[in-house]
Amino acid sequence: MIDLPKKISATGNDCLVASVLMVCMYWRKSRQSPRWNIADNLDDQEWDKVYQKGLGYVKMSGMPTNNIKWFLNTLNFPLDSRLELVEDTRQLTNLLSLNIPPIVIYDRDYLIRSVHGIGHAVVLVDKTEEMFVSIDPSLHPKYVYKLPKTDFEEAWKFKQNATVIIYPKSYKIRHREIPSTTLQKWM
Amino acid sequence: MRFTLNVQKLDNPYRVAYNRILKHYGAGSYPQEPRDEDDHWTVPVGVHIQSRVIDEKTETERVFTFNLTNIGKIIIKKSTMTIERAPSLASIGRSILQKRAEIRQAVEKDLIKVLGEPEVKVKFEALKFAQTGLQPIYRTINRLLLQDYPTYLELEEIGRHYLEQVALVVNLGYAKFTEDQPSKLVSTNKLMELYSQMRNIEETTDAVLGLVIANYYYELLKDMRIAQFVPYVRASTSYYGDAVQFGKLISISKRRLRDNVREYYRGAPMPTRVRFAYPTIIRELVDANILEYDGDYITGKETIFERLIDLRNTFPMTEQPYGL
Repeated sequence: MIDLPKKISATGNDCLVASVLMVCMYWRKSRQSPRWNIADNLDDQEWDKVYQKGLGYVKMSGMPTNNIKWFLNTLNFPLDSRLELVEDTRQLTNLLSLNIPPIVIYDRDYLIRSVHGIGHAVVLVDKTEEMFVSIDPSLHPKYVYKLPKTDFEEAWKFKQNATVIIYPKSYKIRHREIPSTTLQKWM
Repeated sequence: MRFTLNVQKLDNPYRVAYNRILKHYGAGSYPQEPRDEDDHWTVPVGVHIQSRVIDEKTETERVFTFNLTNIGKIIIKKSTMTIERAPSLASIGRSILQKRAEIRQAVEKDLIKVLGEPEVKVKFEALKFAQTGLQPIYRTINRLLLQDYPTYLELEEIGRHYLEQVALVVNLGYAKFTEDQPSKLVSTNKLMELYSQMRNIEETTDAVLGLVIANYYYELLKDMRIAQFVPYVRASTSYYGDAVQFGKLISISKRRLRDNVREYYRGAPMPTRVRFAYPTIIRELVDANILEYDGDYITGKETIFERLIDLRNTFPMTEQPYGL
């Protein structure tokens, strides 16, 4: 299980910023490097300022994932970010096994009430046979929410398996593109 | 470290559009059903917007999600499955504001109509600042009820703006110009009937003023540039808009009401020379029977609320579950 050193509470469109910052804090603690230009102490005011700055990238329609890249660049963090529409949950398992906490965007309304709604961002930290363990910024003070795997898969699929990966710049990601099985439909 | 990820190929219009949406607009937006159009796909964009309403007295919060559709469209070339044209983030933002304005206007229009109903008994005379812009109507109705009938020439000499407002009372059938010369403005049977129901000049004047506002608010604002009523309408619309969304009358602080007005009318600038203190507006709205004090909080009037509640069914919203 990946241990996020600090949890951040957020509501509405701010869930993605909170998730990004929690992952940044995780990397700050787990990858000691002189390239970090921010305090090791996560309770330092600097981190509050970073969060406030991040909120500036949130728009009425959510936080564009391109903004995460710009946000990390302006902070000069030794991290990179990518939005990936990954193939399936096996990719999430792979990331977790590499100790990379993926941020997944799924349709929480659909998971709970079978009604489509806003894309909700959470950080996955573990998986069991039947569950994914998430840290959900909207669930202060508990934060931990176990997502039943099959229900989550369905709700995540409505957001095209969207996953934001934040990783150290020294990591290299290779892609293998999997064609759509419903390709015929669009020909 | 090197690792490989299996990712979905962007080989269908829905996926191409969603990839664009997430990268450029955010997870609040979503692609609607792609439309097949000759050599390209057109994918309309929708957005889910969250809205929170809080009853401060009972400390209850309800979160609603508005589903606004067709706020933009992405054009995808079929041969290459690449984006040919897509709206900018700024354009998406403008469309969201426009859609929100449409919802706001629906509440505003209905509220103005309700305030104009004589049975609601709004005391417009308590809205002091609004009175300054609508003096011609006040004075004309007062004069007519005191059987002091001004001539057309007399009204014309006061100014065109004066005659324009008098014309609104004439259009509603509460006054008319006589055909003989010199033509005089006289009361009609309709005005006298209203007077016999109300039984005093102040209430009759208020009732006529309410009807003028209910029928001609936007003409007064846009054509005659009478904006003094705007802050009152905005404050009441923001309150009742939230209450209707919540499903019952709520109690909120003055500060929250002020913040609600700013949020509710985001993107709609206040006309110049009508910015003034919220405590004054709220006190006058309470005096006018539009709002009510609930201890330290502000609440609404049941008579107004029950006439507006049906609007709730027309809002494109669902309620979010709160707490898991």
